[in-house]
Amino acid sequence: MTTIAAAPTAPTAPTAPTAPATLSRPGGFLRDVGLVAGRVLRITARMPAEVLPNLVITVVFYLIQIEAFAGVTSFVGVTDPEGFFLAVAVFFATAGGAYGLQLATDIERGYFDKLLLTPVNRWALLIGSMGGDLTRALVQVLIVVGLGVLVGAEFGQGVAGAALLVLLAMVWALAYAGIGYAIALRTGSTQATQVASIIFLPLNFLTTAFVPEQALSGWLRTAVGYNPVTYLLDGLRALLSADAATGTVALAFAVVGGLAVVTLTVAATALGRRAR
Amino acid sequence: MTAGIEVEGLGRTYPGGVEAVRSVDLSVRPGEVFGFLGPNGAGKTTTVRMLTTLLAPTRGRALVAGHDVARDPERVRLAIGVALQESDLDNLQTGRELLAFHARLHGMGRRSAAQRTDELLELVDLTGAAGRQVRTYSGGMRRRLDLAIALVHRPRVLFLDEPTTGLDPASRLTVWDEVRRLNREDGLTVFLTTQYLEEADVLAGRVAIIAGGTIVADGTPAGLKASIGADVVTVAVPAADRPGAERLLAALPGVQRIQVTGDGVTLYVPDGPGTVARLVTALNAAEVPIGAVSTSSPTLDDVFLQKTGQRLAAAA
Repeated sequence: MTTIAAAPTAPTAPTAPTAPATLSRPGGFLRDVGLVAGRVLRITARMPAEVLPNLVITVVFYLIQIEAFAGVTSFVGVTDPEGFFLAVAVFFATAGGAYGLQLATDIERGYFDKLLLTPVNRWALLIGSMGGDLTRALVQVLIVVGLGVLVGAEFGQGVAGAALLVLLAMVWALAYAGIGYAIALRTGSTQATQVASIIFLPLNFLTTAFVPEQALSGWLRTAVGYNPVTYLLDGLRALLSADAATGTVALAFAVVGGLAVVTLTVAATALGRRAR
Repeated sequence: MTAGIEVEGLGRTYPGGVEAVRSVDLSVRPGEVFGFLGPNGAGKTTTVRMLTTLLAPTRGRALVAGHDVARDPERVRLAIGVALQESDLDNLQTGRELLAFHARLHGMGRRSAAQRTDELLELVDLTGAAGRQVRTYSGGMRRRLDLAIALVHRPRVLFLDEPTTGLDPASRLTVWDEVRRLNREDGLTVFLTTQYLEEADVLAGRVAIIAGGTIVADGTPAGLKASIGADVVTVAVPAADRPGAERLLAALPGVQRIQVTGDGVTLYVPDGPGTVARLVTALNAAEVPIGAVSTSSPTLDDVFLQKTGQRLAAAA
């Protein structure tokens, strides 16, 4: 009997059809957020008609309010109309645009399915899209605040106050965006999402946007008390005035932040239902 | 990981009790082009949405590229490429931006994404239009870009949903050539849904027919056609005379099967040409007015008719 000392080494032939790995792999949450936000901003930049009207209306309205009410605001205790109406302009800058509209368009046209077929992080689809929308809002807020400086609004708390004002405005924008995103994800309809901006109307008029609370009376005063935008405007104005009303600012952050938690939870739940 | 598809008892009932897919069993071997046929409403789209992880099954099991679509959808998505007919593209990005965006969503770095984008634009012949926004693209260009997006991460299983619906004949041939080339050169498994039986016949190694939420036939196109085992003779008869014609013709010698269709009566017989003369004589004697008479070898459409009771062209 012969013993074979060493078997010749032959390459192992594949025994079963195996598929080589694809190029696809998850890219990571933050990277996905950046990609999705970048796309929304790229698209937004190509639709100036969606963005510019709101900015123009905000700016023009601000300038008109200062002029029109300059003679009467002092009767109701407003000494700095440039600052008083700057808060309203900041609110307009954040609440005038439709949030979640691109997402609703993607869902309606079926492109959202294409995104869901990639390994992109599901939360990044929501947070990235919101990031794109909020960047647009931030640019508008900064333009409006810059205009406030130009027309001589007081900025009684200096740069720190202005920075907190922008932060408060953006927390509000987040809360407001949550409503649009929740509707976009629940309905997948651009029409329904656009209707969300009608909420803007009562929020706007049932506030201290045009006169301070002490000048209001009756049911309007009661309604104003329940409107979160009232607290937002009070907070923004406190940050513009010379006497630091820390309590008012804290209350504004609490109310607007609380609202953001609620609307974002609803939006996140809607995303969970739509995207596996 | 194998690049095949294994499906057992897969079903989906929507909330409210609508049963879109009752129970689907099928098996697609790695490297195969598999044709999935069915009229609208048969459960075709729902099945594809379950296999591509877009919709959760309510019962049964499906493995795609070795991964369970219900339990491991993330891994399934890494392995599949999907071009869905009903999904639109992002109109405001350019072709190049959109393709690179999808490459990046698949985790590719900036440079490799750009390189892969150039390769694919070349492949689908869109290099010249790459800098234009997608909204300026024709239907055929969109379909080609969609195919490129589906291929961007070199998937192992490609789902093509009605890839040539609405395309002109020349573009259709281009897509067919591309599918064949991908399958031949890259060993890509292709799951093709189509309403064009000719397309399934030309491209698919095997086909399955879904009707009423379940698979009613599967096999090779040749095998399915042979299963009819007969020539097909079709005669056009006015609607009112069809029941009478059916009775008369069923009595002819050698008729294996007879079916009333939307425009007349179809007979399955061993000898088509020989039956034509007897058929004309019988109908003339009974004074049944007849239109065109034809005889042919069975097509997939005949298989479809036999299995579902309707022609796909009329059903779609």
